Amino acid sequence: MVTIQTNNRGRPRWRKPLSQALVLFMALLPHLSAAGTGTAFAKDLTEMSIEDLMTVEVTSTVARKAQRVTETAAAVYVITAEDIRRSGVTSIPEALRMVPGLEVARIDANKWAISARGFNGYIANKLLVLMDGRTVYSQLYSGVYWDMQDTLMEDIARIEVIRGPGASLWGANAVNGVINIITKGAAETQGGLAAVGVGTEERFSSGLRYGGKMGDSAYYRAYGKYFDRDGGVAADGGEAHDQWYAGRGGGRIDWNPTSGNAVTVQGDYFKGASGGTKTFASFDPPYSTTYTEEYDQSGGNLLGRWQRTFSTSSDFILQAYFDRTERFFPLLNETRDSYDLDFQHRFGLGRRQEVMWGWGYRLVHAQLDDSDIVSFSQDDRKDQLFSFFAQDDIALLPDKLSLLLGSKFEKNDYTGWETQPNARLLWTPHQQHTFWSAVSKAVRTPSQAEHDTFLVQRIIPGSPNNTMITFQGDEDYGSEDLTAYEVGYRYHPVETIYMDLALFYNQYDHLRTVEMGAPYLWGSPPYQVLPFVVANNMKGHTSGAELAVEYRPLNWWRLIGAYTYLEMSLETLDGSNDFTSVAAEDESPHHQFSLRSMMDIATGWELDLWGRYVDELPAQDIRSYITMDARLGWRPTPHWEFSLVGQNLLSPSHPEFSSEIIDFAPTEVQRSVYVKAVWRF
Amino acid sequence: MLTVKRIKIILLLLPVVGCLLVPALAQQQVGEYQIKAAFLYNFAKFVDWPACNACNDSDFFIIGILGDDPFREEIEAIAGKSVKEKRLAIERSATLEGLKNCQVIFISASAKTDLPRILKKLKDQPVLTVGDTPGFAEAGVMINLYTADNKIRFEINPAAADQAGLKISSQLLKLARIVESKE
Repeated sequence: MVTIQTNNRGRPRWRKPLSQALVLFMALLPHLSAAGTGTAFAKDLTEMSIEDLMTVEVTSTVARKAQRVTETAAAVYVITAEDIRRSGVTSIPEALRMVPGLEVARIDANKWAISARGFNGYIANKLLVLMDGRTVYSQLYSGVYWDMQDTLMEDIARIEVIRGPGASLWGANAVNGVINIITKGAAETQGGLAAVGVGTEERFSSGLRYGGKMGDSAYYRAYGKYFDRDGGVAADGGEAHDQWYAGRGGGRIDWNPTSGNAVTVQGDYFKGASGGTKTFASFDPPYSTTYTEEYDQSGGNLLGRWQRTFSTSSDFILQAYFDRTERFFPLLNETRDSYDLDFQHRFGLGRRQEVMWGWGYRLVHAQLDDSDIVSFSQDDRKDQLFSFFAQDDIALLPDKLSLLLGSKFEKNDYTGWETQPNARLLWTPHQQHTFWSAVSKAVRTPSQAEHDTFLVQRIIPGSPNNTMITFQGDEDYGSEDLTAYEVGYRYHPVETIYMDLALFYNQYDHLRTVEMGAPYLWGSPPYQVLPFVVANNMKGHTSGAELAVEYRPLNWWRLIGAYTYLEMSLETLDGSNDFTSVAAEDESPHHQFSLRSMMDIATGWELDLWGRYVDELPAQDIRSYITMDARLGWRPTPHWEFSLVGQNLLSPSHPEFSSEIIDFAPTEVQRSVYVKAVWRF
Repeated sequence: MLTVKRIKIILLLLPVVGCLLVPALAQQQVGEYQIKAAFLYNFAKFVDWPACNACNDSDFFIIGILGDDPFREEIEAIAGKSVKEKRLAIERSATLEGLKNCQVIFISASAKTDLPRILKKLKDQPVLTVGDTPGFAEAGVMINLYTADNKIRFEINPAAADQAGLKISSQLLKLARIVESKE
């Protein structure tokens, strides 16, 4: 798929007076840079990717060398492999906490609510998530099962996060953001790696990977991992049964048959089980049932990709994959097979234009084994998606000003044709300053649940009839629409300081509401049904600011900060009787801070600290919290790495989110400690 | 705007910031050949050599510098790093004959007049040739570094690499300017 080339280093910090002091101080002392060169920095250069090296400026004079920041007219943030290693996170969702503009909240030990720029929830539905070009959101509810997305953390090359619409390239569901998890090529994971960890919450984790060469033009790797995580603590202090364990294995082959041809084949399989406390309605007294068992989940995928490179500005990629997920819930089992074919071609047009176009086809086959309580009008359905996109990147003033125009056109089985255009302008008046702005339209197409579902939420005994409260989909439910206005500014005054600011204003129409319909009698003996039916009766706007700052005061010390501000304003249309959906305004934090410090305190020793603040969620009665992770790492030889990690250290436990619609008992995130050893051979 | 409060904060922070900044700024300078050395190291990672038929069964991956050495000590930053499971070593020589068993040969600008003879001798040998002199790629050097907008770029002559049996990864080709040999 489309990969944004970004440099790996950009990012954060927040207290304003300090940054101003820095700027002032540097202005006063422009000549300090005359001193030595130092091989310490040269060593850093060899750690850089070739893309990054190409952005380093040669200092032939006294001028300071600056790295060029990402040349993308979008709010982009990249989590690098080093960020992951030094943060001590053990899962992909936890790694996302470092990204400005994202909201990451744990509901219980195996469920997360993750969204970008508002509208967070367990079934948050405005985010597109890809793993190595494979879409991983579920059409069932347009969201992501985060407990099914995993790989060996050491094999993740980077996680690219775009806040704001990415729909013109990626299509429907890339409404508020796109997350692309990219694993390393097989050539970069040669040799063996064995990792084992034990801890209080992270009870046991292990990983094994081996990479080698096949013939003289192909590399391979194979990996396996297993973990067992402890459940959280329920609000009343009791056990919530939300433990989680899973095993996973897979491999990848990268083959370069000739110069300019690259073929990748990769696949994974996993199986696991997660628990939790879920309460559903029931037809018999006491009219509700609480489930605390573990439920199985499994899945696998196989992906092939062929990339043909003609020149710097011309290549094509053909990709195909198959993905299966099987998920068991109480009262609903889901088996979903996706077949996807994708093509894209990029070429230069004259000296000033670069054109990219492509098409895609996806077939999703969902088989649902439903129940009286959770049922679907179509429990075996095949949905097709046809898509086409084209974009033109025009250099209006070479190296100074460029304009990107593009649109995606796609046809889905729920709403027919959708058009999602965007226009982006990138202005680099000076190498230290980059400005960008964008206007885009994106749609969030209906999910299977919004179309087909019939969920019995509660049964209330009464006479003459029992009352049944239901949540129902509607075949006339339409897409949610977004028009987004964004501006951004990046400032890279010196090699050691980088700042990235993004501001946005999002205008939404036809957002989902749940309308109370007219009561009717159903069944025998009859129930008085009080239906709540989905509709598109809400509009609103959100606005916010996201700031990322990176500062390296010393070559052995990096500080990375992130600040997120968000304001949401929603209103239902006249005629709507839904007074709960606007509560989404108060289900996303207004303010979030993150500050990471990474220090190489002595040869082979690393001390990393990470503090986070998340504002309150009044609609959920969740208070603001501040917490901290710490990691002490020791690398006595290049082969061995030991780390001691403490997570959520500042309180014994804290709640982060409750779930909506389906009644999961949330649990609190507990303070935890783990130790881990990694052996590379 | 500089309010009194902010000025106070700035004055308070100045000494701290100053201490932090001096070493930071001291490292700002990145010499041209520091960067080029890092490129050489990356090229070694992204090129595949044919299965080693007695070309070099030592424990070292050797980069040779032919002619006047423009890198000097900058190249030491990459010496000892591991490439293709071998340790990277540097050899220098004024003549091609003095560079045996090299997987990579950097042809310095000083060897320009001798270039046709050098390339003829290296023809069909699994040696990646790298230069940083205008016209080298068209003359048959596989990778040639050049400077544009103060940044280091590179051009690749894929036909020259193919002829020697070397495979240049598409990742590298994607980033390069592609050139063809001029007869």
